[in-house]
Amino acid sequence: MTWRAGPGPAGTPADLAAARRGRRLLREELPRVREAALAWRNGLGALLLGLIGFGLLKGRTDVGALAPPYGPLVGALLLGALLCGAAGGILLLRAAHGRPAASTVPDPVPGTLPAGPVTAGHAEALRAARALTRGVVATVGCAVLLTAAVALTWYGPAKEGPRIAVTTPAGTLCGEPLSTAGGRLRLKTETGERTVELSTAVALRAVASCAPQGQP
Amino acid sequence: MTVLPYLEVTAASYAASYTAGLLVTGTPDGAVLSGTCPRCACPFDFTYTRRVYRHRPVAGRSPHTVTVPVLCVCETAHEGRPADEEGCGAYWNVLLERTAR
Repeated sequence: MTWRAGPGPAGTPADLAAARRGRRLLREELPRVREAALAWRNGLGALLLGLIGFGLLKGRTDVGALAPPYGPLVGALLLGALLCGAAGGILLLRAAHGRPAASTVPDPVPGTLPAGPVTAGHAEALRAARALTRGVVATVGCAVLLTAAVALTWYGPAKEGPRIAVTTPAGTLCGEPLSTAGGRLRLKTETGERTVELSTAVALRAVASCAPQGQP
Repeated sequence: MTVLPYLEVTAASYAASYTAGLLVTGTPDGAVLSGTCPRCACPFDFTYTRRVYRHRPVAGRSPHTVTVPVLCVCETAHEGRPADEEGCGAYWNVLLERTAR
C-alpha cells in the first residue's frame, strides 16, 4: 500500500489513549504469538503421540497383505503424513522461536531512521502468526493422513482370501476352501482343485498364506 | 541541545510540522511513519497497522483515508517520564490517504 500523509484534526486526550493502546498492542504482539505457538506445538505434539499410541492397538500390520492398489495407497498416505509432519514441525518451531538464521539489515538511508523494535517486532509477529497457522494446518493434515493410512491398513481388502491347511497322514494340503459336502472338503490349491476326506484329517488350520514357512 | 521534560501536550501546529518532513513507507497491512517529533525534535518511527495478532477483526476493506493518532515515541530520555511511557509526551493526529493498494 502507498499512502499520502497530511495533518489531521486536533488531538484530544482520547487520541493519546488510542495511540498508547495501539503501541501496547504492538509491543505485546510478538510475545503473544510466541506463547501461542509453544502451546500449539505442545498440544499438537501430544495429539500425534496419542495417535501413535492408538496405532499400538493391533490390527493388520503388513501392508504387503493388502490388495492392489491399497498397498501403494497406504505408502503414499504415509509419505504425505511424513512430509506434512515435518513441515508442520518446522513451521511451529519457526513460529515459536523465530527463524534460525540472521537477517539482512536494510542499508541506511541518510536522514531516515531504521525501523525500531516495535515496527520490526510487528513484522516478525505477522510472519510468525502466518507460520503458526500453516504449521497447525500441516500438523493436523499429518494426523489425518496417518489415521487414514492406519485405517486403510486395518480395514482395506486383503490381497488373498482365507486359506486352510489340512494335514492328513498322506501330507498337508493348503488352499482356498471351495465347498464341503459328504464329509469332503474341496480346496483350490496351487496345483489345481483337490478333495480331502475330512475323516482322515489330523489337523485343520486357517492360515494367512499357503507359501511355505520362511518364504514371503 | 536542551532536552525538554516529559509533558503530555498537543498543539495545532504539531500535525502540520510533523507531516511536512514525514516519510511514509507502505506495508502489506498499513504504513510506517518515519519523522521527527514537532515538540522535542527527536526522530522516531511509528507503525500504523490494521492487522494485529489475536485482535478482534474489523469487517470490510481498509478505508481510503484514516486518521491515525500519533504520539512521540522517541528513545531520548525526557525528564519526568513515567517508567511505562515512551517519548516526550506530545501527540497529534495524522490523516493518511491511500493512493495505491
